[in-house]
Amino acid sequence: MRPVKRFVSRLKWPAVLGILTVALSGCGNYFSSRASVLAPAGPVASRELSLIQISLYIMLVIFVVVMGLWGFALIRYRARRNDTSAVSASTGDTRLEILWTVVPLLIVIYLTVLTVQTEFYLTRRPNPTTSLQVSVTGHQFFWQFDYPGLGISTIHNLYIPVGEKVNLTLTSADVIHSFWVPELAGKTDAIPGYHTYMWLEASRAGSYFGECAQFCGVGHYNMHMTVIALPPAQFQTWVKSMQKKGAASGTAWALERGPLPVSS
Amino acid sequence: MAAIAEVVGTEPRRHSQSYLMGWLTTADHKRIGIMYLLAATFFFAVGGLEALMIRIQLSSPGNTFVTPALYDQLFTMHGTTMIFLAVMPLFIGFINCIVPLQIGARDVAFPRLNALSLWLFVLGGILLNSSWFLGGAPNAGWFNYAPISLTPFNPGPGIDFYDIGLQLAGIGTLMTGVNFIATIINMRAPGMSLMRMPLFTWTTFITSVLILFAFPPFTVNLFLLMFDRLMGANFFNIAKGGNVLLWQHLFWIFGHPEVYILILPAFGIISEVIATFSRKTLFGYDSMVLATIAIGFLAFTVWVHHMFVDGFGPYVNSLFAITTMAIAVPTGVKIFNWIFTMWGGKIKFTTAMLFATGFIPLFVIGGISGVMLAMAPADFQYNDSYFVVAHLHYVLIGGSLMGVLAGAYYWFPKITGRLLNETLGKWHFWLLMIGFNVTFFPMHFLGLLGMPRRVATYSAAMGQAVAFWNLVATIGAFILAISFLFFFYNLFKTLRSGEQAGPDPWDARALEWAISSPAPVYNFAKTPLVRGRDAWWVEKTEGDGHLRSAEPEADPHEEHAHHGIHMPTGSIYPFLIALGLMIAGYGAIFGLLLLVAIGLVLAFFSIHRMIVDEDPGEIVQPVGGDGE
Ligand code: HEM
Ligand SMILES: [Cu+2]
Ligand SMILES: [Cu+2]
Repeated sequence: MRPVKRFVSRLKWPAVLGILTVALSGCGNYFSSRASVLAPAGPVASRELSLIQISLYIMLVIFVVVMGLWGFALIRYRARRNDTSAVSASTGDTRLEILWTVVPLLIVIYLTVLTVQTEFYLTRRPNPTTSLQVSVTGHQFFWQFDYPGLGISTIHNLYIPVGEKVNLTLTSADVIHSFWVPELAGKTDAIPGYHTYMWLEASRAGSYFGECAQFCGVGHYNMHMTVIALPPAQFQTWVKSMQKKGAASGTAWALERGPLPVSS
Repeated sequence: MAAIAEVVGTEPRRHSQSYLMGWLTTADHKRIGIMYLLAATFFFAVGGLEALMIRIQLSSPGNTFVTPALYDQLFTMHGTTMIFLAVMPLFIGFINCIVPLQIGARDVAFPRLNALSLWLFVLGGILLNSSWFLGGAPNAGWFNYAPISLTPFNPGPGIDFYDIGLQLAGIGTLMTGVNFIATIINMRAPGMSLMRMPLFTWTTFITSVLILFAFPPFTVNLFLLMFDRLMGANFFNIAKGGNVLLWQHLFWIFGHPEVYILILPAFGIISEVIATFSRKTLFGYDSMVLATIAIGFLAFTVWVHHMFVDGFGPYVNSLFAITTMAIAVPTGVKIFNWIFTMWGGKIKFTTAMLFATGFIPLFVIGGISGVMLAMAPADFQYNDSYFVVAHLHYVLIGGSLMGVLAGAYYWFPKITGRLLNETLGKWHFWLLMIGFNVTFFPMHFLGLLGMPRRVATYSAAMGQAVAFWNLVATIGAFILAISFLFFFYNLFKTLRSGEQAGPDPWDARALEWAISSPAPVYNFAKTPLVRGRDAWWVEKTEGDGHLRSAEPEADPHEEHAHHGIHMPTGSIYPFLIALGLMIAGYGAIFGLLLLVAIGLVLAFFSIHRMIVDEDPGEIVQPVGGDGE
C-alpha cells in the first residue's frame, strides 16, 4: 500500500478542501431535480417524505453506533508486533446478545407503528361523491385520463384543482405500468385486468412532472406525463372549455392531446 | 483450465481417458467446484461488460451509445447473468470445493448428480447467452413480469431463451440443494455434531433448504410461461381469464428466498474468515446458527414487499412490512457477533480479512436501506427507482460479492495449492471499495431525485443534479472494473508462478486446513474423528497437531489389503443428459420438433444408463501421511 500512502501525502490538501467547499456551497443544485421526492407539493408526498426522514435519522444513528464499534475493534485489536498477550477467550455473552436483539426489536416496532399509521392514512380513499374522480389508463407508451363525471378525456396531461383530493382509479390497456409523480405522491401500478386506487392532492398551483416507473417496453423511458394543478376557479374554466369543445365536435368526450413532455 | 489442472492434478485418470474426458466425466466434488468457479467467473465478466455498457449509456442525458431496444436487453441480461450465472454458481463452486472437506467427507452424497447439476448450469447459461446471436436477448428484466413477457408484446425468441435457459440451470441448482442437504445430514465425520459444524457448512445447509423450497415455484412459473408462449396456453392472458399477478406472486415467493440464497453463504464465509484472522473462535456461535435459521424461515414470509405498489391495500401491505422488518433483527445479531469476534482478538489484515471487514459497512448500508424500503408507504416513492438499484447493489456486491471475494482469497490456496499475491489483492480491495461506493452511493440520490430504474436514457430537463450523479456513477463503474483487472491478473499470475501455500497457510480453524493443498482426491486418508468446534484448531491447540482417525487401527499383517480407499468413478452420462436437454431446449425455442425429440431421446437414454450402470468405484491408494 506504499503507493497509495505516497499519493495521499502528496495530495494538495488546500486544493481538495477548495473543491469540497465549492461542491458543498452548491449543495442545492446537487439535490434538486424536476421531479424530486425531496420537494413534496401535497399532503401525500409530504407524509411519505416525513416517513423517509424519520427512518433515515434513526438509521443514521444505528449506522454511527455500529461503525463506531467496528472501527474501534479494527484499530484497537489489530495484531501488533511484539505483542505476546493472549487473545480473549470469550465465546459469547448472553447479556450482550439479548441487548442487541431487544434494542433493534424495539426500534423495528417503533418503525412498524409509523408505517402502519401512514399506510392507513394514504390508502383511505376520499369520499367519491365530494372528490374529483379520474380514471387513469396506462398505454404503451402514454397515459390517458378520463373524467367520467365530466365527460372529458385527456392524454399526457392530468388537470386537477389545487387543494382538493383527487381520486384515481388505475388500470392498463396492455402491460403493467406504474404511475409516479414524485412531488405529489408515490407510485401505484396500473395492471391489466385490475383496478387499483390512489389519491393525491396538490397544495400549490403548478405543473408536476410524472413518469411511468414500471418497465413497460422500448418506450418506457419516455412514458411521461404532466400533472397540471390549477386554482379551483381556473379548473372550472378549463372544464367548461373542454366540454364546449366536446359539444362542438359532436362527441360527449373531449380529447386534449397535450404536448409530450420533454424527452431527449 | 490447463494451468489449474496442472496444480490440481488430483484425480487419478484412467489410462484410456483423454484430458478433456477426464473433466467431462469427473464426479469429484473438487473438480466440479473448480468448473463451477471457472464458468461463473466467465459469466461474471460477461455481466460486468454489460454493466459497463449500461453505465456508458447513462453517463450523460439523452445519450445514444445504445438504442433503447438494445439497452433493454443489456439490463435484463446483466441482472439475470449476475444472479443466476455468476454469484449463485460462485457460491456453489466454493460449497463444492469446501463443504465436504469441512465435514470430513470423501465426497458429496450423490457425486454423479453433482456433475449433472454442473452441466445443467453450464449448458443452461450458454443457451441463455447464445440468445445474443440467435434473434435477440431477453428484454423484460430479470423478473420478467407478465404480460410484457408474453408473445403479443414480445414476439422474438429472447424470452424463450430466458425461460428454457433458467429452467435448465434451475433444475441443476435444485439438485445441488438436495445433494448438499443429504451430504450435510449423512456424511459428517464421527464427532461432527450439528452444533460443531463450521458456520459455512451451516449456512450451506440452510441455503440448500431455501433452494429446495424456493426453486419449485420458479420452475412452475417458467413452465406456465413456456406453455403460454410456445403452446398457446393462457395462464397469464387476461383476455382468456388468465391473471398477470400470478407470475409476480410465484416469482417473488421464489425471488426473496433467492436473495437470501445469495447472502447466506457469504455470511458463512465472513464468519470463517473473521474468526481465523482475529485468531478467536466465533462469538455467539449458537445465536449465529439460530439467526441463520430464523432468516431462512422469515425469507419465505416477505415476498409482497416487492409488490407494495400493486394496490393490495393497507392490511396486506402492513403485514408484509412487519415481517420484512423482522428480518432485520437476526441480521443485526450477525453483524454484532462478527464485530465481537474481532473484539479482544489479534486481527491480521490479509486481503481475505480486508474483504471480510469491508463487507460489514457495505452490508450495513444495504440492510439500512432495506429497512427503509420495508416501510411500505415510503416504498411507494422508492419502488422501481434508482433507490432500489442502490439497495440491491449494496447487498449483492457489498454483501454477496464481498463474501465471494473474501472466500476467493481465503480458499484459493486450498483449492489450487498457491497463495494469491497480497499486494495485488490489496490494490483490488481498495479500488473496489472506492469504485463501488462512487458508483452506487449516488444512486440513492438519483432515486430520490425521481429517476426510475430501467430507463434507456433520461432528459437533461430532469436537472443538473441527475446528470451529475449519473456521471459520477459511471466514473465509479470504471474504477470498479479496473479493480477487477487486478484480480484477474492476480489469478493468472498466481496460477503460473504463485507461492506454494502448504496445508494450512492461515493457521486456520476448520477441517479443510488439516489436509494438503490442493486436497488429495480422497480428501482424508482416514476418516477423521472430530473432537470439538473449530475441529482443526482443537487438534492444534489441545491435541498433537494431527487429526485423530475415526477408523479402527489397521491390522499390520494385512497392511496392503485394506489400505485402499473406495472412490466413485466418473461418468459421461451427466454431461450427456444436460446436453440432450439443451438440444431439446433449442428445439422448443425454434419450434423444431425433431430437435426436441432427438434431445429428449439422448437425455432419457443417458438417464437410463446412469441408473442401470453400476458404479464399480475405484480403489485409490493414499499417499504420504498428511491425510491423517
Ligand atoms: C435487512 C434486510 C433486507 C431488507 C429489510 C430488504 C428489503 C427489501 C425490499 C422492501 C425490497 C423491495 C423494494 C422495491 O422493489 O420497492 C428489496 C429489494 C431487493 N433486495 Fe432487499 N432487503 C434486505 C436484504 C437483502 C439482501 C441480503 C439481498 C441480497 C443479497 C437483497 C436483495 C434485494 C434485491 C435484488 C432487490 C431488488 C429486486 C428487484 O426489484 O429487482 N436484499 N429489499
Ligand atoms: Cu409504462
Ligand atoms: Cu425481498
